[in-house]
Amino acid sequence: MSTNNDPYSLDFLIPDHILELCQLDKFDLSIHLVATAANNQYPLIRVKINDKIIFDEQCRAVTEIHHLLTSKDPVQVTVEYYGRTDKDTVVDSEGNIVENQHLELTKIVVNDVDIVKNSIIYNLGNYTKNLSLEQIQYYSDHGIETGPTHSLSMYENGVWTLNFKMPILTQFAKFKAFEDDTEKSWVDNLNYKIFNTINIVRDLEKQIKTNDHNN
Amino acid sequence: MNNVDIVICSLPSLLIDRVPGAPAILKSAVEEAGYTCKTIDLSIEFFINQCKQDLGLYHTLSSIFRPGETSNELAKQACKDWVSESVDQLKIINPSVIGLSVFTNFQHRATIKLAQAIREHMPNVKIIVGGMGLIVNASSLSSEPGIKKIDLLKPFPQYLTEKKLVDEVILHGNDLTDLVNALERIVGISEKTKKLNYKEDKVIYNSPVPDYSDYKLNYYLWSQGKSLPVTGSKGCVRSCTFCDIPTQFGKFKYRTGKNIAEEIIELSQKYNIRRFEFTDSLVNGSVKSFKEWLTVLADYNDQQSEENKIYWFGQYICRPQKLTPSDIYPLMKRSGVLSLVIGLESGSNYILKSMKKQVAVEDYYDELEQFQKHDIHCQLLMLPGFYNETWDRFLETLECIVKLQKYLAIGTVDKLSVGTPLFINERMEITQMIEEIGMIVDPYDNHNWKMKSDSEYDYVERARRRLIIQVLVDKLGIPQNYTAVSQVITILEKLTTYKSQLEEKLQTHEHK
Repeated sequence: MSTNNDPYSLDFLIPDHILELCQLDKFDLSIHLVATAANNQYPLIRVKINDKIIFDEQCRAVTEIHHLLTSKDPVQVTVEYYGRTDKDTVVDSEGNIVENQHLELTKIVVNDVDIVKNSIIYNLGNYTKNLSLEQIQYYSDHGIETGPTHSLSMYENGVWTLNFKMPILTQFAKFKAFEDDTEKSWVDNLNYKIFNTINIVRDLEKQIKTNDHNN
Repeated sequence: MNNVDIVICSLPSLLIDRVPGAPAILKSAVEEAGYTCKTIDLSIEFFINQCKQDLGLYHTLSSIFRPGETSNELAKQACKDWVSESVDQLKIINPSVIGLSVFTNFQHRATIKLAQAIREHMPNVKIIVGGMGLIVNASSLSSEPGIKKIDLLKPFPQYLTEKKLVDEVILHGNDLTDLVNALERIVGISEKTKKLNYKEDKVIYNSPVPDYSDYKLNYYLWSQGKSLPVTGSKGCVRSCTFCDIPTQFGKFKYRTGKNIAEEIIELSQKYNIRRFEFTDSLVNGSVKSFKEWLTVLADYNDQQSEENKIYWFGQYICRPQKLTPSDIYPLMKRSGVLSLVIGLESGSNYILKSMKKQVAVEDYYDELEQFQKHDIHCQLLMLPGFYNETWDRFLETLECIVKLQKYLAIGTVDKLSVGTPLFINERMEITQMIEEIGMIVDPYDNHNWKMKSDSEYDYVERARRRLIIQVLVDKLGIPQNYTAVSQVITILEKLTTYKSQLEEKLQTHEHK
């Protein structure tokens, strides 16, 4: 049986094994990264869940990271690209880039839902680059945005931050909910009113039955 | 001298994000037969004039038209104003005949109120009623003042004729020719008039291209953009025991895919509208016709710029994968499918079998996987409280809802609409089985039935289970549509009425 501070909550009506099936506290994460090296050096990546490091090493060409936890509280996942220097961009004599170290977030699956493929990732957070003043100046001169973006290609040191609320699928379902202005909104405490009326009805039926029996 | 031969009216309360299709088709047919015709959607007029285009107000005030609902003084006044303004509009149009399109029982109360006013203020005008709303009884009138209980059991057309509110009733079947025949009788035949050649009783039938020129298309509440209705078939290829479509429409009939696609393309070019809603009970009843129009639309769309592409949505049946051509999914996508409404009904295969759905829960999951792969969206409908829903089978439905959450999270399923517990009407196949399955139905309340084998499985228990479903879907963040919300409100109203009856009974007992 679930506990809830909402006085109108009727969660206790849901059978326990159905609530277990819902896996409301399950957070099953799988991150699929594709890295590109420069000068044979692959990106350094640190992945944290709620500030706890679950991965911190040099990426291979393809890297998969799995982590499973249970939580009732929100979960923050960060994918940090760090240690990149100017040496990680190789240019030829004419200034053309021939090798450019970077990282691609190709697939992130949470509780069997690919949040990249389904574009849910854009509701969950963004990529904030850690740029030096010199880099900010360079980007500004070339009209390139320096603030947080939704780019899944990380070409600079920085962090992709994803903020999940539990239960995960409930959060995703709310993102995807097809809201239609013409649809009637839910009536306040309607469920509770029905619950209450059912109880009264059953009680009245009992009283009538008892009266009938006594008569 | 009348200005037009007939004016065909839609009545409140209809959904205001879609246009009623019947008057537009009837207008085309009537004009083709040589009569003059106007259409007027009096439901959208109510939204514009009485509700000031306010959606919230529309929901509140249209309680005066909805079956069995009680209304406040504001709604009663709005209804009086609507009747008065409607009669004024009709007087200006000055027709020989007024046709009232009774789409469902949501139009019953408006039909009566308007017909009474027409009789009073336009006594020489003949009134014809038609539409699917005529095949049900008059139980929708239960909250009308002065209504007799016995009248609620009467077929609605019988009630209308007994009250002398209508001159002709056109029951569903051959609407186009029947309406023209009625005009011949009332208005007469001239050299301009001619017989129609629409074979509405054949398996493959044809239909005129609807004429929406009288519609106030800009006034509907288009949350997703303007759309027009299309009807490609009538009836269903299934005979689900809880459904009244086979009785309403008879044998499944359909138009050729080419005919359907040509109508859509013509309407899109004429009205500059790219979205089409199929009113069919199912768009894929005839797989052959379905593939035909999908192919024509897909090829058409391939040649169009993004803004000129055609999109469509409608109801669809799930079949096992072995009976579903694999190329149908990419074809649907190319033809512009937006969303499909599918009756899932139950998470129990035992119940699905007794419903004669000819499909298993696993087939729905297979279909959803295909939809996910091809980026096709759908809405699922569920029917709780079936006659043989044991607690274990009910739990199977809850488990199914939990499994569906994933498809809602990724957007393959847009909405899950859980209906009101099973109610019985005389057109359902289940009514033929009542003796056999041991069901006892209250003749005055088709929601109130019991099983001889399980006296505890009464309406209150079904309402309790429906409540549990609602608590679960809320917990899972699953959105509900308008109809589902309305139906839960209806459950509360029914329970409240039952509670009052019990209180009264108890008081009587104590008094004795």
